[in-house]
Amino acid sequence: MTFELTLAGLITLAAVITGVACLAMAVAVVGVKVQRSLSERATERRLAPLRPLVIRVASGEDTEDGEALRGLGAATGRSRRDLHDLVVQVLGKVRGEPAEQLVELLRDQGALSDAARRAHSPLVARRVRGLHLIGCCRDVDGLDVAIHALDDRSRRVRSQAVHTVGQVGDPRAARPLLHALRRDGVHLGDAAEALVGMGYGISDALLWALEEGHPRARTVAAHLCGIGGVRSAAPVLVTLLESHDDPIVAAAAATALGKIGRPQDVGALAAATLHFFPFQVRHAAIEALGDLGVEAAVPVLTRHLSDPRSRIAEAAATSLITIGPRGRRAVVEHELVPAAGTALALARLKGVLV
Amino acid sequence: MLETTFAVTAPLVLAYFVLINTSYLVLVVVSAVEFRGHMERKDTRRQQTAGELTPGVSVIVPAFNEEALIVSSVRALLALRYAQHEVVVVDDGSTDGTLQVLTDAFDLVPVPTHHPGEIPVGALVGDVLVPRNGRTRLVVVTKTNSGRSEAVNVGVNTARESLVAIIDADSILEPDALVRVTQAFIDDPGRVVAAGGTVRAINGSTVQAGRIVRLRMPHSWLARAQVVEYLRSFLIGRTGWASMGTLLLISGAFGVYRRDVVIEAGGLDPTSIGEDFELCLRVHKTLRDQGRDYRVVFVPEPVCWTEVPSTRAVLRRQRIRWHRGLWETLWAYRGMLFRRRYGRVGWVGLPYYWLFELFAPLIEAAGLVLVPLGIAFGVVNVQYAVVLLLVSYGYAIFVTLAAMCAEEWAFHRYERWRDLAAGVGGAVFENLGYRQMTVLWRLEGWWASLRGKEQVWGVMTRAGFEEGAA
Repeated sequence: MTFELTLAGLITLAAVITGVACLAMAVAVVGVKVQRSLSERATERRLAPLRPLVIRVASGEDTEDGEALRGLGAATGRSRRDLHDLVVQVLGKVRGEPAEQLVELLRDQGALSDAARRAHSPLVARRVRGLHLIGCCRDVDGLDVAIHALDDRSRRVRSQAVHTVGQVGDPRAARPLLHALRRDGVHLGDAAEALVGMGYGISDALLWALEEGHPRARTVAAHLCGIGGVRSAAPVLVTLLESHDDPIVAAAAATALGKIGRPQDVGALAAATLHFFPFQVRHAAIEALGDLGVEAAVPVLTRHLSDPRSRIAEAAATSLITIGPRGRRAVVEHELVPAAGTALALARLKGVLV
Repeated sequence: MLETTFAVTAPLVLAYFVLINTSYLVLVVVSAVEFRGHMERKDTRRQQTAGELTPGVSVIVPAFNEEALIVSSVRALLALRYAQHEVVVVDDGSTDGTLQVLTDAFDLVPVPTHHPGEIPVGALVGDVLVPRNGRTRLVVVTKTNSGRSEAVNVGVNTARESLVAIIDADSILEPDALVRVTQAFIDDPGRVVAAGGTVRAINGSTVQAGRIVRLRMPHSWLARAQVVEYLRSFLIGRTGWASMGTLLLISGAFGVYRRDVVIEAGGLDPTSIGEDFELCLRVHKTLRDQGRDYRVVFVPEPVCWTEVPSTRAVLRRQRIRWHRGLWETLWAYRGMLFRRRYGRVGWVGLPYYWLFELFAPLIEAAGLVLVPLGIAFGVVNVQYAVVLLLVSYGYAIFVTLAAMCAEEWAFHRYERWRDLAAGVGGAVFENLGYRQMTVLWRLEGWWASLRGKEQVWGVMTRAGFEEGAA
């Protein structure tokens, strides 16, 4: 019997294959759900006897001789791995002695040393999980591993490393973190949050970043100097504002100066409101003049009430009201200017002006 | 002659079906790779919050006759988990009680304001109202009726934050939707200019105070087909395109743009039917003409839920409008095709849209007409014709099921088995019955545009989801 390869034959074969493939894919959809359901149920079965013990420890209600903790220590095999995952979830919500006890449990069961080893794994997912555990446990011993991971070749690992160093909270990681901002994959917001978590010991690192760092590091550093009250950064911020090489950095510098600037910085901020500066720098400088609250800024801001860019005019009006009585008088005197009229109306609604 | 026509056309139609579905399959694979990262991050995921360096967002809500839903919608938007956002509702000359219910619910008072008009607007802009307490970050602007595009433009003019999120009044955003979509803007403030989010169908689900409390597949097969269609085109398709740097369409139901970029591009075109597509293309064109380095990104997690048409009449009007908008926009930007300056947009994205979005209903209609004709005139073997159709639509069903598999693996939003079964059934119905219906309507839209017929928007009758008891 010979097989004749005709177009019709090919199409029939293709139809059969397509039908089988559709059936297989439908089975795959079901299979994915089945696999997940079975896995979740199995995990729940393993965790059922352990969960109440974890809750007892986490809520600080364990007996004096640590009965619940001993019960958790007896977990083995797959149950132990599930227990570690559960503890990691709980650690995000627990502080103080209960958190320390749970971290010690993980340490005694080798989870933290495993995590440090996994952070060197060739697989990205394993490195991420290892770093994640170090961060959740705020394990200072794992900090060096996390700092090293800030320069990992994988974006996901670098991103996790940022969270981890923030959770550990040791200022030693501040400068490496700011240095890591030169690469993709490190979110500015995440980096800023991580640095906030390290406390006031990061001032030197912030000053370093302002002077020598990548523009992204400078943006984060400027922002944090402002909210952290690093007043010694003011002269450097003025330099960044005046150089306006990078409008994003300059705008961040202006905003920070609004919080920590000195009276003599009004001049630099006022200059940055001029028309040839990029819009975001002008806007940030005008808002900063309001935040700074120095009455010497009133004439500058008053001139901007009639700026052709409505956002600039509105920001100027709002800043004048923020400055104080002299600023408010200026706004009232210019009430017929649209931006001033709007700002006055809103201020009256808020009860700032009677 | 008919035999020759069929002999030439049928293989072309088959080849087209194979090509288009293979392209979808490629997008499924590309998206699955992106989702793998999501899966691997699942165990290490933090609760995302709006932290440091969060840019402000103005959520712009154009509203026309939304009396029934607008208050709960605005309350939900004000309650979004975000550090710095305002809600700007633009009442597009509603003839019902939209403005009155807002005024009563939020104690609105007028404030004197000027209308900066950074984007020129033809309509007459009326009052600007804010809550009397002066602190709730809500602004309601009234204007004469002139369409959604101008309403959005008025909203952009009024917005005070650096990012604008353009949504529909009936869109339901997840509480941390703004947090997720703004991450890219925080990370890359110099380059990211726009971000789209997945839009999914909410029909059949229960909503309480503007939040989904119970997610279910819809009861009607029409809506079920749209659920899987949105899954394939939004979640899978756009994730895939965005990862290749060629995202050309950010949905009008939920999109976030840098305000200055929208203004620079001139805002939404009030004369365009496909205004969301048109704006995105115009942004691409404007920035590429300037030689600027920029990115348009996509957030794959479900962030926006909307009600899809549940009747044929409303669906028909929607698809006529969509395809007409597609044609008019592609034609308007035909100058971008195959030009080096426009990079992948001009060489990959736009040609794809021409070939596989615009011409798809034409090619499919040719197949649907030729095969029965061929059978009727005896030039086509019935068995052959059936097999041909099965291969064409079977492959499409396979691709849709693959998209469902990817979604089930990564997100599994529908928990019940019956919802999964409904989805699988929807995948079959979407390709056998539903899409043939839409072929006709899409051609109708295209033909109406070619004839210069005036577009009538019509009214969407809301019926899709249940408001749960508080």
